[in-house]
Amino acid sequence: MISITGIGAVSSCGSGIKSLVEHMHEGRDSSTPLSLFPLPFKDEIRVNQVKYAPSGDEGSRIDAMVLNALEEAMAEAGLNKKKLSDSAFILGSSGFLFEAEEEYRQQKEKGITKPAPLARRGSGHVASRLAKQLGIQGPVLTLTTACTSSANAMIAAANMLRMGEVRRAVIVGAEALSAITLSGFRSLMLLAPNGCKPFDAKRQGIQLGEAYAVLILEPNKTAKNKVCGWTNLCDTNNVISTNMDGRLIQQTMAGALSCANINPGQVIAVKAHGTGTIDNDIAEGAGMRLVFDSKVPPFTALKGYVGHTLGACGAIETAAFLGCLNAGFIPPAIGFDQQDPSIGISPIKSPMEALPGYYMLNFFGFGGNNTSLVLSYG
Amino acid sequence: MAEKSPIYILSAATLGPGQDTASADRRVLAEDAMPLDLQALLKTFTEQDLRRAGHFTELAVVGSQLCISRLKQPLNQGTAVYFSTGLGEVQKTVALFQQVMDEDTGLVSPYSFVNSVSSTAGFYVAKAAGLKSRNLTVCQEEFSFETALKLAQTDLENNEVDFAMVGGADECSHPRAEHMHRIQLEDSQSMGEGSGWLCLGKASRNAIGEVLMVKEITGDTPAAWLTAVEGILSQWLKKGHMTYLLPGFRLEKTNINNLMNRLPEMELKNYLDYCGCFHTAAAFGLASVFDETRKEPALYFHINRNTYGRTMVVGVYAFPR
Repeated sequence: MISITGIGAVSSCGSGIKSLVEHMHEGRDSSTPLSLFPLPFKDEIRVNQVKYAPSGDEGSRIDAMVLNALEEAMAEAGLNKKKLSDSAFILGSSGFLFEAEEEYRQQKEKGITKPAPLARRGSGHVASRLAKQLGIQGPVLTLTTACTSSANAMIAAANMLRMGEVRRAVIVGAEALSAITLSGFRSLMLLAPNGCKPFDAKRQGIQLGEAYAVLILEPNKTAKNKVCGWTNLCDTNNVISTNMDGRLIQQTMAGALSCANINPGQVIAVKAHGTGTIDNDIAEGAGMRLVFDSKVPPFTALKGYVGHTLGACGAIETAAFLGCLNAGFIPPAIGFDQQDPSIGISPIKSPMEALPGYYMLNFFGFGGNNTSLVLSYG
Repeated sequence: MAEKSPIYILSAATLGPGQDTASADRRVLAEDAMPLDLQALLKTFTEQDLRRAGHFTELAVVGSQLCISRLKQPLNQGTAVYFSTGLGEVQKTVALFQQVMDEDTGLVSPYSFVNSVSSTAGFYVAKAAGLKSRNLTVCQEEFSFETALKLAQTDLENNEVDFAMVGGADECSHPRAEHMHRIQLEDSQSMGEGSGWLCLGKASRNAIGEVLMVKEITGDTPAAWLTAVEGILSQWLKKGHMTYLLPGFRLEKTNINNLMNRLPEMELKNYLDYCGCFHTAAAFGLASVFDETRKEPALYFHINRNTYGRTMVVGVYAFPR
């Protein structure tokens, strides 16, 4: 059995799991107009950005935030930096365009008329840099499967731990906002003008977010939270949206249940991916109805709190959800008001008591990458 | 803990910068590679319309399709894809930089954006192969392919998957000076590109080789490093097979020379002469050894370093055929 012995987070809700849980208990929206960098268009864009920069020894905003979340997770797991040295360090992100864009802007400010785009190295350099700084000697890897990146990092870690390849794994989800990403989603007409409204009849799209989260996984430890099952599958129907009939989502969820050796009736609640886009929510709703038949358990969606944090959503939403369970409640989906008849099911609108047992967490991304996890609480 | 089983190589394929797909077609790179149009070659492997996909995705799809075409058995539908890349899509992302950072129109090509997404190439690899199974994209700079291979090995040994396609691809871009920033080459090194793939399984039937190990070694001083590498390789050298060293593009000349002096029974194979330097060149190097026919089994060890001082060793065993 794989235990989650420590969690830490920095998000638009603030630094630390406690502040995240408080926001979610009160159903508070933490979005603001984007202020981190200019955009090449006039629309006001609301995002979930981290509102302060935690202090770090050196390096980037990303490093400082990750280290802040790591410190919190290590404290909960009872670890110090020395004990981390033989851990695996597995990072999930959609990439680090933020840093490359920063460097590009700085070069332009210095008067360089044609700066080199993408001057930074590939997505793997952040994990290498952080691992070096932390003195980690174990495996270092970066998974970049879009919105499932850090959820897939948890799967990779669970398999390494099951094989006894490492003593523990540090999972990092890291996603900074990027002008290119915001512009790209705008060009696809997927940005919501009025906030994320997962599964709502009037939903209009996603609201992007910045977040950093750390989960520490260890085998055979006493812990309130455990990773029990998982599946990752690829829906090759369309590169930007999953098949609307929900069949691949059903297979993904069913695979995770089978891996956990439980049946659908044992799932207490589901944390849906819930992007708030028209098609994805229909597909996810269809998938849930296929898996659970007419008995879809209570479900929620968390992007109304932290935004769609892309590659980090696996880690930040897992951390947030577990934080709430550990505080005794299942958080409601903010932004949801009215059921969409084409979905036919509704997320919870007020907190529910968290009972001990199994919970399913779904993450579905661009490139048809679908991941479901089964975690236990209590 | 699950029991470890041997990991067999069922097929292998490479696509080099000159569109070379077999050892007879390979030419030593005289200068930096230029990204060649792969549309015609792509059409020989897949009917899928990839007109809007970038060159990077084409590299990944052609390499993977070639590897599938060399399988002596039908591709298992549960085959998991482990795709690796150091830089990912470069050309389309550079275009996005110009559209977003230099212009005030806010007009971004949706196709450039979708192609720049990290999971897009892996998606098209799976789509062309008709696979809906596990699909991971790994980016770990110089160790991207080694890391993907290690993940696949773990999943195969853990019985998480029964078959795996492990590949790596990276594209070059011009001007060289800009690409140099991204990949940090020395002036004397040629900028390359390519794609290399291995289909893996747990049954020996139709196998052309075996993955012996994917190991990371530490050794702070040159002497400690040499001892650590020797410790890994010497146990295999005792078997008396032909043994080759495939040096990665960050392995320093001093280390290569010291290693060859310490283990004189090993021969050097400079695959980088044919594909140039790129983050996933290891995929090309390791897959290319299976292009050759041989009467005796042979061992190949790929060794590379990263800029943080880490070393990764991959060992494969090529069966006679």
